[in-house]
Order: sequence, then C-alpha cells, then structure tokens
Amino acid sequence: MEGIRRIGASPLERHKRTSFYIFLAPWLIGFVLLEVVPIIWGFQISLTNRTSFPVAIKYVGLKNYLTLFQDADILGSYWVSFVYTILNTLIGVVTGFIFALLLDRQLPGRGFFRTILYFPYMIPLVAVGWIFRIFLERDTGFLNIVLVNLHIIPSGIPYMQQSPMGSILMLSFWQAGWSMIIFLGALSTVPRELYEVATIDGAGYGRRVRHIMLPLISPFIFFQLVMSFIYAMQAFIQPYILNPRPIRGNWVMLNPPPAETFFVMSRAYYIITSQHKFAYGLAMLWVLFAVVLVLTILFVKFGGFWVYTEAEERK
Amino acid sequence: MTTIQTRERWSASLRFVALVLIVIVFFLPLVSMLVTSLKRMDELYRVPARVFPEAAVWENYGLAWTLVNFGKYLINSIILTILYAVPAVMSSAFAGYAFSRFQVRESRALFLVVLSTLMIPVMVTMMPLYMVLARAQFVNQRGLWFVWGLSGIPFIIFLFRQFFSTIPASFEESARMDGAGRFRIFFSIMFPLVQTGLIVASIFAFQWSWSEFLMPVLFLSDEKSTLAVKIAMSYADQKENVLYNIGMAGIVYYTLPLVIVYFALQKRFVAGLLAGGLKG
Amino acid sequence: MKALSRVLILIALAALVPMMVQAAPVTVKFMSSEADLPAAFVDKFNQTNPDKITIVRTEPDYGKFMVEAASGNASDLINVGEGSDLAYYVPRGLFRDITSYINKSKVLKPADIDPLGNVNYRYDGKEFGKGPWYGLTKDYNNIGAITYNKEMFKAAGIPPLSETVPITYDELYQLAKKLTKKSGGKVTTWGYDIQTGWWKFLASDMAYMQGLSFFSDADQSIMNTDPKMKDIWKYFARFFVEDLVPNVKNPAPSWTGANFQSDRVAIVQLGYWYGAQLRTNPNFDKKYGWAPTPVMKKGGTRVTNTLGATGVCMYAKTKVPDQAFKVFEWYMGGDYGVERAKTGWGIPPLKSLEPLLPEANVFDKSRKLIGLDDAKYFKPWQANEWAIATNWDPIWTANIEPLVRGQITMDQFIDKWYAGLNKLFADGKAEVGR
Repeated sequence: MEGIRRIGASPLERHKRTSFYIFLAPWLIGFVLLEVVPIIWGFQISLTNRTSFPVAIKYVGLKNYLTLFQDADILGSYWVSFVYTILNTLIGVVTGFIFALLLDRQLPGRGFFRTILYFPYMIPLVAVGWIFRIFLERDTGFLNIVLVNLHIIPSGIPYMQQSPMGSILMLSFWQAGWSMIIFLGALSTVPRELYEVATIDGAGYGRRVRHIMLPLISPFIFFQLVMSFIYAMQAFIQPYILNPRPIRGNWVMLNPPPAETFFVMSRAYYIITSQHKFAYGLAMLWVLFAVVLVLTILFVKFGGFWVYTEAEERK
Repeated sequence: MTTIQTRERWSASLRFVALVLIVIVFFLPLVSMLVTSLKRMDELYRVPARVFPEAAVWENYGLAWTLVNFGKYLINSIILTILYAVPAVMSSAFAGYAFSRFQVRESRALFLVVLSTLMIPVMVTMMPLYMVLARAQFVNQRGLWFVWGLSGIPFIIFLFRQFFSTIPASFEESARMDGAGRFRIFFSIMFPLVQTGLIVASIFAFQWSWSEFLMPVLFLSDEKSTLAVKIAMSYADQKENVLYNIGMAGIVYYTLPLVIVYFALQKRFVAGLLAGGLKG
Repeated sequence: MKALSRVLILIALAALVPMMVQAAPVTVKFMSSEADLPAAFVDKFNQTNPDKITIVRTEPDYGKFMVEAASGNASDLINVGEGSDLAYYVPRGLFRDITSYINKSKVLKPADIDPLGNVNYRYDGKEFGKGPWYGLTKDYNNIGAITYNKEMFKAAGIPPLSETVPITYDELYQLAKKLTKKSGGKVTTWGYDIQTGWWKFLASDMAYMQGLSFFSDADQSIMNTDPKMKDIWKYFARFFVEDLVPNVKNPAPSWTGANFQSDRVAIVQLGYWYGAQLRTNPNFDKKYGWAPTPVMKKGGTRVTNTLGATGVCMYAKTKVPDQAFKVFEWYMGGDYGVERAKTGWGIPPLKSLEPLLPEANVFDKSRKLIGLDDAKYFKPWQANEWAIATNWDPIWTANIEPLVRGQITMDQFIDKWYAGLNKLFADGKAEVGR
C-alpha cells in the first residue's frame, strides 16, 4: 500500500497538483485577503479588553470567552438561535418539498406557479422584513384585515408581540422557494420507470414516496439540512426588523429584540455597537463559529446514516 | 379513459386548486406592500383600517425615484454587481473545476475549508477587514468588490464541481493529445458544456451583491454607495420620520431588476439546477 | 496566461489610485444621514466648490464609526445624534476643540450663537455650557412642547390648551386618561404617547423643577433613591401600566410621531420640529394645536430641555481641520444653514437665523412662538459621562414589559431600572479605568 501512496513522486501527480492550485488560485487569493487576514486580526482583538472607543487596551487572554460562558443571557442567545434554526429548517424544507411535489408533474400554468413561489426568495431580506412588519400590524395590517373580514378571527392579532419567533418563522414559509427549487431538481433525477413499476406492483402513493422517492432524494435533503443550518444559525436582521418593540426611525438596531428572539449574531452586533464591547462581541462570534463548525462536522459524519448512496460512487 | 388517465386528471386538478390557494396566500404580503405604497403618511395607520387609500398617491412612485436619486445608485449597484459577479462566477467555476478534476490529497480538506467559510460570521471578518484596509489606505475603493468576487461563492463552487463531474474525462484526454495547455482545455471545451451553470451562478451572484448592505455601508462613501443602502436608510425625513409609503414604492423598484432577470432566464436557471446538478 | 494579465491589470490599477488621490481637491468627509445633509445641497456646494473643497457624505452607522475611529480614519465632520453624548465621547478623545475656529469665525459670530440651545456642545469635562466648544447644534427643539389633536379634544368635551400658560404634569395625566379610547378591551386611540427613551429627558425637567438630581454621588454614577425622585420615574411608568400609552399589550403600529400623524394618539410631546412633519396632513393647521412644556406646579418654575440636540462635531484626528471648519460654517450659518432654517424642522443654532422660521399660518406661528419661549428655560438634561443617551432606553423597555403584564410590582420595576443603570454606569467607569 505504502509504495503506491508516495505523493508528488510521479510527474502526473505533480502536474495534477500544479493544475489544482492554478485553478484554485483566484479563490485562494480572495480567501487569504478577505478571510484569513481579518480573521487573525479579529481573533487577536478578542483576546483583549478592547471597547468601541478604547482608552487603554490590554491583553486579557481568554477572559472574554470565560465570561461569556457564564453569562446567562448570552447562553440564552445560543439556545434561541438553535431553536430558530431547527424550526426554520423544518418549515423551509417541508414547505419546499410540498411545493415541489405539487409542481413536479405537468399541469397548466406550471411555470407561472413556479415563478410566484420562488419570487419571494429573491426579495432582499431587509425589504421582506419591512413588508412583513407592516403586513402583521395589529389594527391596520393587511393580514388582520383579511382574517377579520373573513370572520376567521374576531379582531386583529398582534403577531409580533404575541409570538416574535412565530412572526420571524413566517418568513421561512414565505421564502421557501429556495428549497422548492432544489427539490424540483432532486425529483427530476428519480427515473419515472421506478414509480411505474411500483404502481404496477400495487404500491400506493404513500409507499412510493417512502420507499422510492425519499431515499433517492435523500442526498438533496441532507444538503439542504446542512446549508439551512449554517445560514439560520447566523440569522441577524430578522429579530430587529420584526421587533415587537417600537423602532425609532431607520435605526433598526437601536432597540434590542426580546430575549426569545435575540439570536447570537443579533446580540453580538448589539454588544459591539450599543454596549461598546468590541472584543467581547467578537469572542461571542468566535464561539458561534466553533459551535456551527463542530455541529456540522458531527452531523456530516454521524447524521448521514439515512442518506441513500448509489452502490457505485462516481469518482 | 383509463383509470390511470382519470387519476392523472384528478391529481392535476387537485394540485392546481392547491397551488391557486397557496399563490393567493403568497400574494397577500405583496398586496400589502402595493397598497401601502399608494397611501399618504397619515393614512398608514388609521382606524378603522382600510385596505385601499382614499386616493392612490401615485406621486409616491415619482418620489421614490427622486428622493434618493434612484438612477445614480441604480448605476452604482449595477457597476458593483458586475465587478463582483464576473470574478465570482469565474473563480467559482475555476475552483469547481479544480475540485472535480484534480483530485489531490488535500482536495477533501480544502473543500471543507471552502464550506467552512460559510460558517464564519460576517462581522468577524468585516470589521477587522476595515481596520486592515484602513492601514493599507485602501478605503472607499470599488476594487474591493473585485477581491470579494475572487473569494467565490461556496454553493456555486459545489455546483460547478458537480457539473464538471458529469463530463467524461475523454473530452480532456483528446484535447490534451492535441497539445492544448491547461487553460485552452478549460475554456474551449469545458465552458460551453456548463453554460447553464453559468446562468445559475450569475443569478446567485447578482442576488447576493444586489442585497449586500453591510459592505457598502462600511467600505464606501455615499456617492459610490448602492441601492440596498439607500432603500434601507434614505427614505426618511429629518428627525427619524421614516416614509414607509414611499419606502414600499422604493422596494418595488429595487426588486424589479431581480425579477426581470430571473423571469427572463428562469427556464435556463431551473434547467441548470436540474441538469445533473446537485447529486450529493 | 489570462490569469497573469489579470493580475498585472490589478497591480496597475492599484498603482494609479494614490496618484488620483493627490490630484483631487481637498475632500471633507461628513458622516450624516441623507435627510440631515441632502444630496442637492452637497452637489451645489461641490459645484461652486469654494476653496476647492469637496464634501463627501458617508452613511452614519455606529459599527462603521467604531472601526473608523479605531483606525484613526473617521469622517472629518460627524453628525452627533445627541449633544449630551459629548460627555461620553470627549474623554475618549474623539472630538476636536474648535473654540479657536469659532472665535475667529465671521459666519458664526460667538455673540450670535444661542447659548442655551447649544449648551450641550460646550463641555469642560464636568459641566455642559462651559469650557471648549466641540460643535454646534444643527438645530434644537423644545421637546417637551405639547402637540395635540384638537378634534379629539373637542369630541371629548375638553377645551383647547392655552398657548401661553403651561399645564401641569398632573393635568397631562388626567387628560391622557380622558382621551384614551378602548373598544372590545383593546385600546384604539391612546390619550398620550411618548417617544422611546424620552421619559428620561422629561424626567430631567421634572427633577430640576423640584431641585432633585438623578444621581446620588458626585461621580454621577449611582441613581438617586430619594422617594421623590423615584416618584418621577413612577409617573412615567404609570402611563404604561394603565394602558394610556402604547405598550406590549396594546402595541401601536409605529413610533410616536407616525401614530399621532395617523390620528391614533391625542397628545404627544415631540417639539417644534414635529410641526414640519404634520404639514403633509390635510387640514393640519386647524386640526392640531400646540402648548408649552408642562410644569410641576401651576405658575411654578419652568424647566425644559432639548435632549442633547442633534449637532455636528469635528473629529479629533481630522487631517483637514481648516477645510472641515469651512464646511461646518456653511452647514451652520452659511447657505445651507439659511435654507434649513426656512424649512422649519428645528430652531437654528444662530440667533440671527430665527426670523427665518416659517410663519405662514396659525400653526407655524404658534409653534414658533412656543418654541422660542420654551427655549428660554432650557437646562441640559441630566446626562452623565458613563453612557450614551440611547443606552439607557433598553433597560426601561425590557423591564416595563413584565410590569405591564403584572409580573412585577412598580417598586420592583424601579429597583430593576436603577440596578440596570447602575451597572451600565459602572461598566462605563471601568472603560476609562475609574
């Protein structure tokens, strides 16, 4: 075995490696300049007691990290971010799946439906936030006007005040288009013959879904779970725009959201810019990175048992 | 009609009805946005609540354009988007090609590094980046968008890796036998085959850059700033009075280019994602 | 090969940049919102380009300000939201002493500068209104002045308020009670609404009028536990508990000004400038009325304030102080200063510009008279140097919610309010090593 694995020995191997790095070069340049350099600098700052407008900076080692692990509020932020991530992923993926199922086969106006359901995902998140803030208002919001006029509810519900998390999760539903598109792609890779054969064998719709469709699209589900997890843990602006507390002018980030939606990124930004604790906020973000990295690696390594892979893997 | 055909008909009808209902629900926030954009400021929160304004204030759409000098910032946004998207797509395609074709020992680890860049919270890099650039005197420069583009889009790198994996090695082999160098092979043979991938990548890059807010605020002064910043910050009077009605009209304008591009390219876009694209 | 040529182009571009920078006229960076520094005026200035100065506006963002200051690269002129924050910023070396510039200025004559309106822009390390000048207000306002909805008053059978004799805060509370309307257990119109955080500015007035201080120590870092002082805070908390202002149980659609503008609130205390916003309402001059800032006792001492007033300061490490000051002059008393005074969005920093305030109708006349009258009683609100003004507010907002929901008592609320503030101030002290 060892004899075959001498790296860089063969000219083919060297040629491969050179090509690899030449083509990877643009990404590497961007990565080093925009990620590595600031990361190192930023990490170094998190080891100091630097405030926003520092008078005297000194190194405090890991003190920021130790302090934040004892801060109940901050630990609470990690928890609510986690809860949001789970719920957001569930809603997004399930909704996307249902939409994809509805659109998978021929029907009139398919392209139109597909566009309408994908369209909200294209609207930038800040704009979506403001649209919903006005949409969900208790007395004058359109949603309540519709529901009251249809006699579904007696009078307007203050969504943002009663359930800040629920209001934010509405966005997950409205913007499920990303998941729908991926599922449409996934469903198109399942050969139709498999369904037909199963139908002939007497399998009902539910069994066809469970035994043919789901296993064959499981890699796509896995991909979405990972991606959604990474993005949702870093959610930042939604709690501010859908803040049940009043917003002063444009300064969305002046009034902190309530504890139940004070996500990690939102709180870190607040700590840095409003509480002026620059180093402390950066430490909090580093812990977030570590948490997301570890959980993702664990999930990829151990959570993929249900993913169906072809017997012959493409090399 | 056979039972299978009747079942197909039934299924299609049910799905159609379900979709119509869903689309109606999806439209609700958009209706809210449109009617708000046509109201006077004092009509916004009146009770008893009315859906439609007393008299549609079409001037809001004119004001949405003039109040923030929409044209100028539209051009700024387009410039920055192109400055970002071109290197982003190229760099992602290159990287996807590298990961797909040249499997070396480090490939797996480096690919994980690519993925892990998604996990780095943006503030961890943005604020220290400013401090680094300020030292290098490289502030208020559009060139930063080019460098940002170079760092690619991890999802698109992944996508391209999948695309290139579906192309048989025989294409390259024959080109190599003809004596073509690395880049010749890449451009002349690989590229046309993954054209739809380019469309998907461009749309994502466009969407990303169009909505990016933090970077223009931190790194650019007003005359180079983007629409995203203007939409968020400039539809306001003095003293904190945000003009929500005009702001909604502004959002309509702002989202329009994205919609137009997507609509024009949607067949290719969907095809690109569908075509042998996303195998885990 | 293509990649190599691309790299070469980049290097060439990078080399050109410093050359282009040197050839340009002097740039003065001005951190301000667009509304406070409209593009039209910036363009006009840049085109006429006196003294070869070009103004470049940058978007005001706190994170940006922070990293810019950390890199020694902040904008030359900075729009400061509240002048009282100077107590926090000056010890941290952020702003430049411009007294010498002001004394020599022909546009901003020291005698012309309104001392009470601009009081927060002079700070000697301990007190406002004394010591070096760090800037001027862009405009100031009597934020305690009452704007009220005459139609709602009429419907409730209440006579209009006097424009010369202030009502008392007790009377204000009674009016709020009378004017709050409910339907089906929910509040549909509130009798009163208060802008987030402005309770502390009004509380400052009330404290002054009774000879009380917010703080119990010389350092101004510990809240005063005197029962009379606590009563002042309780006065405002009571509005929330009794549903007389929007709260978490009865949320209003937007901020105070927008709520009042949609006729959902009967009385607000926002200030002279608010009249400019109301002018877009149909019939505004007949519908809305003005009254002076309330007092504690009828006919008693009057104290009002202008929060800190929004203003402009010069960055301590600016590389172009002379040119920045020229822009500052233009902004305060030059072309743009004159234009701004005419818009009626605030009382100008210079006395000579006051006649320019609009008086075209009854509404504008009355708010102007009340504004200039109230301004005679300005006292800087009782800020300290340990925190900026907006940092007080989340503590109140977070704790008022359990109070409104009945989960804590009023006394517990005051204790939590005090505890939160004391911690905030202790942190601020630690930042500067005290």
